[in-house]
Amino acid sequence: MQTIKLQSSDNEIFECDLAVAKCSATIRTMLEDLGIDENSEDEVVPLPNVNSAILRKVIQFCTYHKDDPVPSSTDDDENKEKRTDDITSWDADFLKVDQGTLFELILAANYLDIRSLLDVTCKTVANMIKGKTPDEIRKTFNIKNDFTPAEEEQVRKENTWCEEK
Amino acid sequence: MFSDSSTDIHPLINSNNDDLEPQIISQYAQEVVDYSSCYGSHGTISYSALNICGRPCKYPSYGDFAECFSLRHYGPIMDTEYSAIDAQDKITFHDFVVIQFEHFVLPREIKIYETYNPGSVVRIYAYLWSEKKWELLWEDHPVMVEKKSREFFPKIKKIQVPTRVLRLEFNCSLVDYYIGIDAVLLTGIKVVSPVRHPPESKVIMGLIQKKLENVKFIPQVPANDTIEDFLKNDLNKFVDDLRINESEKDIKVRWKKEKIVFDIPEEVLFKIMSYLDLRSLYNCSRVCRKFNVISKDSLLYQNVNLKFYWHRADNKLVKSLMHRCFLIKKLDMSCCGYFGSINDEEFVTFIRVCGKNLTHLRLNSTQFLTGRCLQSIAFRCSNLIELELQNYHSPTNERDFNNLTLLNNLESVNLSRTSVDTFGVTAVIKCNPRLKHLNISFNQQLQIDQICLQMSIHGKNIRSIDMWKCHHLTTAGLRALTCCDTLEVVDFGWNLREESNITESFKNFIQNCPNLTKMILAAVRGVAERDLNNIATYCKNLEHLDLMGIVGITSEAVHKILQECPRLKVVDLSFCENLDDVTLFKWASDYNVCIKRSEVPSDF
Repeated sequence: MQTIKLQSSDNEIFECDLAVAKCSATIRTMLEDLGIDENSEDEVVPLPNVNSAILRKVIQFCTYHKDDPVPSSTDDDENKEKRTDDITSWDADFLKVDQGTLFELILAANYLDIRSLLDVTCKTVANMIKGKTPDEIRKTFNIKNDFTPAEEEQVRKENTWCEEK
Repeated sequence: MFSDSSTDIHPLINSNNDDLEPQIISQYAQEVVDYSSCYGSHGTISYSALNICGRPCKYPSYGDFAECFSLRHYGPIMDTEYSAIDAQDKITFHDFVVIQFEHFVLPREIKIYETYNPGSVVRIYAYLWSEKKWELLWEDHPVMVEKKSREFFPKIKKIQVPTRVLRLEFNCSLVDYYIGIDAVLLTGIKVVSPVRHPPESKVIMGLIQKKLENVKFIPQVPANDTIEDFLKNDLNKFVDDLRINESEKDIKVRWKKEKIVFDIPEEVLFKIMSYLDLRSLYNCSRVCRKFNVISKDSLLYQNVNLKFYWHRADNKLVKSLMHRCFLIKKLDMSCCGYFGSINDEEFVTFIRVCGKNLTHLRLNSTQFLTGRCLQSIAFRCSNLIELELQNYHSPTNERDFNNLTLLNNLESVNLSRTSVDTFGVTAVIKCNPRLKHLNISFNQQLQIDQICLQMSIHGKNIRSIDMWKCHHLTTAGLRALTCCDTLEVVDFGWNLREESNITESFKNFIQNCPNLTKMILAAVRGVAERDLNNIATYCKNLEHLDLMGIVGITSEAVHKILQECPRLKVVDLSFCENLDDVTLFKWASDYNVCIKRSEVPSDF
């Protein structure tokens, strides 16, 4: 089994399957661009944007999902892909983490360009928003209401139709 | 399920008027205000929506009674909703009926008398005149229940505002045959007129007030100072202090290096929002400036389905959507606009601004539709592929539809139960060479033969045509359709009624249309033994065959079809007198075919 070494921002080195690492389009491109092949086993890929705790999770996710079929995207699928109730129980368990970690996973998935991880983490956040009032959304994510009273009034007007009646 | 009305009543006691005793009354529906579809034709008595009015006439009997209200469709519906996100968390409905009662009441109990295939009611709304809005009284998923008549009384929300208009929504995806509703009984506290009750005083908290609440603020002012003084001089400082506290907290959070939502790049926040339904998107717009900007991105509004928000949608929503929907492709506004909540002008403006890229537009049972709307659609939406206008009756001018000739890319058109005239339909066929699906069911005003003739010339791509209860198709029209060899689904239900012999033209038709998968011949009187033999010979791809009400056919002929049509999955043989249930039961298992057969009690 061919492996590759990944280095986290806090200098921890992870050795993992090449196939697993290649779930990341960023790593895939990096390897291609740098021409790293099987002979360069001592090569270490630095990932300065991902810390060891998150990288460990990411590798865990990719190891579990490495054999997943690549989804084809046609116009019809586009609609199906927008579902948020199709998160598998493994993924849901995997994402039972605090908000900070969830956001870090999103950032890592975005940086490493791991489509399936980005999809499922974004869906998880979307599910945290769904069905909540603006105030509840603010509380959930610790967001400050930064509208001026005039702006607030304006957006409130646009939203009268969806207020709980 | 049982709602104990005796304990929960809060009688409307008017202290100034002692003689107003609360009075509980029960009443059956008086009239039908609107409905999406029914099995019977408008204005007839069999299976029509009007049968839901009055006291039960069949209950507690169970069976397929023409005296009850029956919907046209049953079983899973393949039609997908325009926005999967909005459909995902909501209970889809396929049909509805709006009924009115004589007296205004505060509703306490609603009984629905289901006499055939119960379990399809999924929602009940009440219209509150005084507040000009619909209130959801109850909703639940469709259920599979025992096939017997039932008095269904869901536990409804107890509201303190009078109503006399109810809307029932149906989802027939779990029932395997037509449903039957005999009556609806509304029990409640009688109210003389739709009195305006003062709305419950709801404190709307501003920014400052919210903050004060959060810090459990108790003003501490020197005894000789006034509160006005504080407001004048110290309030700003106080608010600033609060702000500093908050940002300190933010800093602390950052110091711990914990990621917050705004560490997520905008394009990822956009992606998160792309998973949100319309209402959640609007709620995001109210959260903060950044969310506001992202949540208004036109790319998030390419598929908008207001069918799920019909009771909330109003002019203000349409207006605000206008600023978000520049890239909209699919729009469903079915059922929107009751009691003037949306007017045609707002819609016309919307179409003018946002209609250019629309490819799919559903306006079934849309209440605000006028000729002007159709005109603006025709002028502006040249990219339309699908257009649904079911239940649009223009009382004044059937020419409303003629503008549609400006559209040339239509592939699917639904004009069921509309006031479209023959010219309108033929023009649509002529102008849209890619037309695949045409639904003109229930339109008895149409000269169907002429439409078929037009179809034979221009309908080179037609896949399905629904002329259920149009009545006027004759063998001449059938002969014309022979040219449409791409046809896969035909609904001739209740047509060809005056023809005693359809054999020659029918044989030609099915011979030339080898792709037929579904054929509805319900109540086509002229169908005879030899026609069934021809079906067995030529319709090798047939999956669904409806022979409801064709009397005089023998079991041999039906048996031959079962033997010769290997793909057959569903056969409707209701009211085919010569066929006995035992034989049908055996065939169903022998040929792995679902045989539909309505149940009618023996005393019927």
